Amino acid sequence: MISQARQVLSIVIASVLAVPLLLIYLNAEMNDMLVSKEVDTLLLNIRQNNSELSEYVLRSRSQLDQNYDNLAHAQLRFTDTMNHFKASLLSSANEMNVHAEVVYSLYEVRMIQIEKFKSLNAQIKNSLRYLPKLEEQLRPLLANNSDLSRAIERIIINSLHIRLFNESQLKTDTQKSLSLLVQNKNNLALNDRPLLDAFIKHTRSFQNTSNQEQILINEILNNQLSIELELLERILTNQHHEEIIATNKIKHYLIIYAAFLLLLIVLFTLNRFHLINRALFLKTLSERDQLTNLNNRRSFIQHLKMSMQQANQNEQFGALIFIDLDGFKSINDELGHNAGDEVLKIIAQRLQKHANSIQTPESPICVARLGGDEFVVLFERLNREEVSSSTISCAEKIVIMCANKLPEPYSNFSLSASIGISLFPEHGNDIKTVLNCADKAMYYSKRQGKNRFTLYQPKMHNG
Amino acid sequence: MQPTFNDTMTISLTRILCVLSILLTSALVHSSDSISLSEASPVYLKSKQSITNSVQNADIHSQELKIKLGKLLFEDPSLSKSQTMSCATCHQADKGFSDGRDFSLDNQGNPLAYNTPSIQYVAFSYYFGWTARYPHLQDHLDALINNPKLMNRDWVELSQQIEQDEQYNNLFHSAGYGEISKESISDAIIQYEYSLAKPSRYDFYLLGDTQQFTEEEQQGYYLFKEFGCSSCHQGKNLGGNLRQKFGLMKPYFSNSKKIKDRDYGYYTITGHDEDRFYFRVPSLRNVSNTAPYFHDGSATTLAKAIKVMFVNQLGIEPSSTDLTLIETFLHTLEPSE
Repeated sequence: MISQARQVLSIVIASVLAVPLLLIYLNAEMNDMLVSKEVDTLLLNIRQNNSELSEYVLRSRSQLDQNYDNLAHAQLRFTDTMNHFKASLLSSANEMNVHAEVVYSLYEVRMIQIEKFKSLNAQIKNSLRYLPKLEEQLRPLLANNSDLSRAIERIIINSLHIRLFNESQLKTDTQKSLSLLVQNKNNLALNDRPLLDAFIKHTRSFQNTSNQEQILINEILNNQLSIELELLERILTNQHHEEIIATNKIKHYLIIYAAFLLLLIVLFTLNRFHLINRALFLKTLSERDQLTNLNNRRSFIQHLKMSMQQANQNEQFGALIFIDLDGFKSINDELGHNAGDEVLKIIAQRLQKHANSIQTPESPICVARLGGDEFVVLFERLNREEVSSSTISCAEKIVIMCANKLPEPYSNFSLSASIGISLFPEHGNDIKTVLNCADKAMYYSKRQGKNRFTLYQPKMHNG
Repeated sequence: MQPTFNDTMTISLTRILCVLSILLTSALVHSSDSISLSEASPVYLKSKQSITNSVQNADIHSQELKIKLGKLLFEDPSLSKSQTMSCATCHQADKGFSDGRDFSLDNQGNPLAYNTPSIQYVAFSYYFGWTARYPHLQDHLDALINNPKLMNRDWVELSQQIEQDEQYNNLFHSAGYGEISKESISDAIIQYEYSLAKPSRYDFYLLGDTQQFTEEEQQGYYLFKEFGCSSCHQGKNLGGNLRQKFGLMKPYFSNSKKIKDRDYGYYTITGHDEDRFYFRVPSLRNVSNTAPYFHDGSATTLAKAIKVMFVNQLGIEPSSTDLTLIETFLHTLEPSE
């Protein structure tokens, strides 16, 4: 069958197209690309470790991390990655070398900064612990010197605030309080002076380390290394692009993609073609009478509806010839249903042939079998002048055609047609009425002695 | 003509082909990333997980064998060229894996530049040596083995020598090492060093067992934090993860003529002025068993060392009760086994 051949064809097309593609794909070497990926991964790791470091520095500074274990761990990871980086990039002699050296020296600077940060941060933490303790010891000694005790209080509060907000106003305020302490320390009893001296010393050391840390934090966060790494990555990407273009690998990819696209298009077209064919086939199947290949009842009703609509809108006219065969039952009874079917086919052929011979593009004719031995001929569009004349001449012809002798095995039987004609919109405006009128006229013909046609007249309805 | 079974078959077949080709295309696109894909796919992870589970028991066993082998190597004098020195010569187990001298003696009997630090808790450290110049234990080991004053050995030569020993051969094999090389020897020794870290009463106290500390020890711990010792001696190892200046509030090396090379600390490595007198903050774990103290062994007792820390690092004149209480606390850092 056709469909089986198609099945085989599509498989053959698919495999013929796919096999060379697979071969091309297997031949396209991807190994080089994996090697270059290693450097990219390394660079990515460095960037990650680098930003991790900034994160842990901030965590330590904001006391989210109480110790430097996480920071030291990140440092160790960073060192390992950088050593790996040094080994794999600095060894290869190309223009990357210069950038890699810059990156490595920036890494060393960064590590020094972070070591420095840890040292300073530990000192600051110490001061923040110890200053309040000193204040506690000093407070009873300064009970009768409210100026000094207030100054000390301000220093403690300010130093905690400076850690949080780093406002220059707080710093100047601390400085003022501190100079007040220095000026007035002689007011204190000789025994108590060392304690105040210690307080002044620790405050100064705190101010000092705090300022240094501030500068250092800005340096650490304003990360020169990450800028350099970005640059290096951009250079690497460009290099990869150039490599790919140079190795013609892109050509392989393009061929593969184009061919697969083609394959898809071919399959899609085949499928679509097939579907359209199927749809057309099913459409004719639903409109045709299976035995005679004339229009079936449903299709006929459709035609009639259309033509009546047109008749109403465009002042056109149509006619319906309703045919019922006389003597068909005896053929069926005596020779069997197969013979009856053959006879119906012959009649249908004659009707169709006649209809084809008289129809014009302006006035199409629809021949249909309604069921059993009932046929219909529908003139879809006619002019006013020709309505009755051409309908009647056609009906005459049909009567003669049906009465014609049948071919051999059935020549003993005499067949005739009783015909009723109705016109629209003259006899009715809807399908039911028009059909009914034609039916009435047909029965009139039967009663008049068969083998004749009758044009519908209103009196038939009443009688 | 009626629709047949074959017709519907053809339609569905064409569709299947379409879908298949789309799948194939996408598969081809993705397979260029095949390596990263296979690593990220959950199936791969799952199988890896199951493998690790199944070999875990074997791992524990081979880990024990590695530690045993490492101990043997650690204490074997034949690792040195003179056949007189082992790692354990300077890192003695009964002295907190230090040797109790101001300066350990080299293979000629002359004192070394630095005091020998305890290595019992190196597992928790991030860099090694007094100036923290070695980022890995491996680097430290390399330096000691290759040092002409100490082991004076070449790794290749050493591996060959160990290879000739049948007992070592068997041990290396059963511990799961492929061959006797620099990597496997170092790994065994380092595994042994890692196994030395033991929990102390302090750890149990931190985990919530407050019965571990006496009243004095608790007070000492409070003072330890209050005075700011814990600013530098912090983290899992109570130190060991940062460098700090020795003589922060008051210079420790007062007489400039007496300053030796070693006293410049990290400066001797980097040559940066700001690294002058910077040392790695040592871990305080098991500190009570590792006298004498500091890089030059200048503090003979723990009390003296604590006093130096107070005066030079914190800028505080401590009372004698403070000193005793803190010393009492430091004794809780001894390994409890």
